[in-house]
Amino acid sequence: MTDYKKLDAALATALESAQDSEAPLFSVFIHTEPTSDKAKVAFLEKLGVNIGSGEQLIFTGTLSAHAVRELSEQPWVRYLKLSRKLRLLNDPK
Amino acid sequence: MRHEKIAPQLMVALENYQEEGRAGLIRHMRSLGVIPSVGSPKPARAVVFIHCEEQARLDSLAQYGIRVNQPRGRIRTAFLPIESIGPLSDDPAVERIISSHYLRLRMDVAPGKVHIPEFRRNSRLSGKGVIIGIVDTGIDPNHPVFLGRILRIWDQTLTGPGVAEGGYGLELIGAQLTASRDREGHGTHVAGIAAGFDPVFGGIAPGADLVIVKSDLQDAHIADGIRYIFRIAHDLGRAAVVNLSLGGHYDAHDGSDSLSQIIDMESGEGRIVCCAAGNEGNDNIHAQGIIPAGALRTIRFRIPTGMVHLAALNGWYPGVNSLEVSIRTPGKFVTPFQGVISSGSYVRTYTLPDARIRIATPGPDPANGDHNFFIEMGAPPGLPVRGGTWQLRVRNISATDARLDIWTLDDQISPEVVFTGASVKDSMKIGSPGAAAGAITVASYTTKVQWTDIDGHVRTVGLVLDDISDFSSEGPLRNGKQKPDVTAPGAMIVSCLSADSQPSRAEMVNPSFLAMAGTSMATPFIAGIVALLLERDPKLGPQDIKTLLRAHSLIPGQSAGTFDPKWGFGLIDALGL
Repeated sequence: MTDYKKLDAALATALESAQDSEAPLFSVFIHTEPTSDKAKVAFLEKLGVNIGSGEQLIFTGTLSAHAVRELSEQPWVRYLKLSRKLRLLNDPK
Repeated sequence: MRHEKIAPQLMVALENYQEEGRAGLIRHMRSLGVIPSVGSPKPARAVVFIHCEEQARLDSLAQYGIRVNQPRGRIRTAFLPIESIGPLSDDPAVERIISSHYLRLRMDVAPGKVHIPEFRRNSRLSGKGVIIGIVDTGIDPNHPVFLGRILRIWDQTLTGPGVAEGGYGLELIGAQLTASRDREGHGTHVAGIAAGFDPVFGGIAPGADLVIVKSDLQDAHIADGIRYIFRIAHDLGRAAVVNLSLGGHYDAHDGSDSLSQIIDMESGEGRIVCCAAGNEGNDNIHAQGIIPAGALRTIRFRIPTGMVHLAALNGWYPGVNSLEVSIRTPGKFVTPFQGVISSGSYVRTYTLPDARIRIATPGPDPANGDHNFFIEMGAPPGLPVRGGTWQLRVRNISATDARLDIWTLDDQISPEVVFTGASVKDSMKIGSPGAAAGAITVASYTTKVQWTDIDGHVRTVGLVLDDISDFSSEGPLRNGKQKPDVTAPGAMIVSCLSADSQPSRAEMVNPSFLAMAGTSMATPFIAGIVALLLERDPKLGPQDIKTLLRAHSLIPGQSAGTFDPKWGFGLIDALGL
């Protein structure tokens, strides 16, 4: 069961329009609890998330809708936020 | 004659000279350093830049009347008869001959206006030993101003095994660097301001080394790039400053977004991040309203016809309040009011005759405890969102008044969806990553409004000279915290042109440099200053740097230490840093 409380509004909105739940379409930030739980690292690695040293609290990854839903159910996940494309700040009006 | 060594503009002048004699050079007098000497027994002459080997001996060129002004160095200047360009190009030590430009010195005013030359001369600092990290559109690795100083490029857009911070893209070093190109040109221009080495258009810290991340501009990948640069710097035992000349408005405008949090976590002693304030000073992207308890308020916004395929509203208000929101389309159709949905999916889709609306109304945000809503306005696939005046209707169902802040979002290069009416608020336009508490957030000042382009046309922009740039985004943050931090020259700045980009000729001052504007340009100015400060003391942290910058910044007509939401603590003056 997806825990929507852990999804930011943009990510929840984007999930609504996902046609293929297995395609890695969502670039996300994964905010986690500070835990030494090895299952956390193993879980993230399984999803192809860059874990770096494994000690950081915020990870990034490109995930499928299914993986996002699965992550939201993990107790060590605080919340998930959709990555957004930023603008270059030249050529002002 | 080795034509390939001669810059195109100089080549054109040479051909005109060969066809028409000295008269053919008259048209180049304003754009090139050419002296036709019509009616004089002296030969027609030109001032040029010579790119050559560092220790090359060019004394023998004197036999052709070529006077080289420096005995050594990779870029030298020379005065020579036009006919001697051929023999000069034949010298094997000479790599490139570039025309000088009469107006260059007058254009190159930004560093002088904030006393960079004096500071560098007095301090003997150049950024040597410091790494400047640029997360942007890439870099022209062949541009001579960066020669030998690009340590690595992580090109996130190329296919490859990635790096420790992200299993995507390709890391390039040494001869591989040229595999990465900057087709937009933004990153090359930014890097040139921070660290370019050039006698006329040089950057602030020409001794610093560069680590480049060519990004797809996704903020998660930008975060990976910051971590990558600091890891490389750590492995090399160097201090580093990261430049982020980019931004957005999907966040809460209080520094609680993911990228800002990562900047705060990664910053520290010898690890500094500089961010652009934004260019929305003239764009009505922010609306604010006090919604009395029990009341309904309407906020209007305008979507241009036929050009926007995705438009959205990003609204934030205190977690203690509860608001219901509804959208009215230009066709006057409305969605139901939707309040906070605390269980299950909080996204609802409404299909109206002239639009499809998705409204997300989650419970309090885990990062800051505030409520937010996200409203996406769409159209059938492939069609633009209906243009016209739209309305956001807001009903406060809580017992106390609620302050609501909303930002427009769209898929255009610069904002096209804007608020209209009394709710427009010229404040709080600094979003992520400029909102990061640990970042040094930079506003733009105008030091130049006129230049002569590569075709000899005088170009003028409608900015007020020697004043804050009107486009520079205003703070403070939504939580009242002070941003921006400092102001630096950002318009019009002449810096490096990427050979792979296709700028307008009106922006080009010659084949290697062009004029651009934006807080994108002001930010590397400060990043370069930070590199100088880190060379002097590699242990400086973000607060140390901010304290130093604040102590040497001033808003004209104000007392030192005064904060203004447009200027921050004022225009930097490097003289006493």
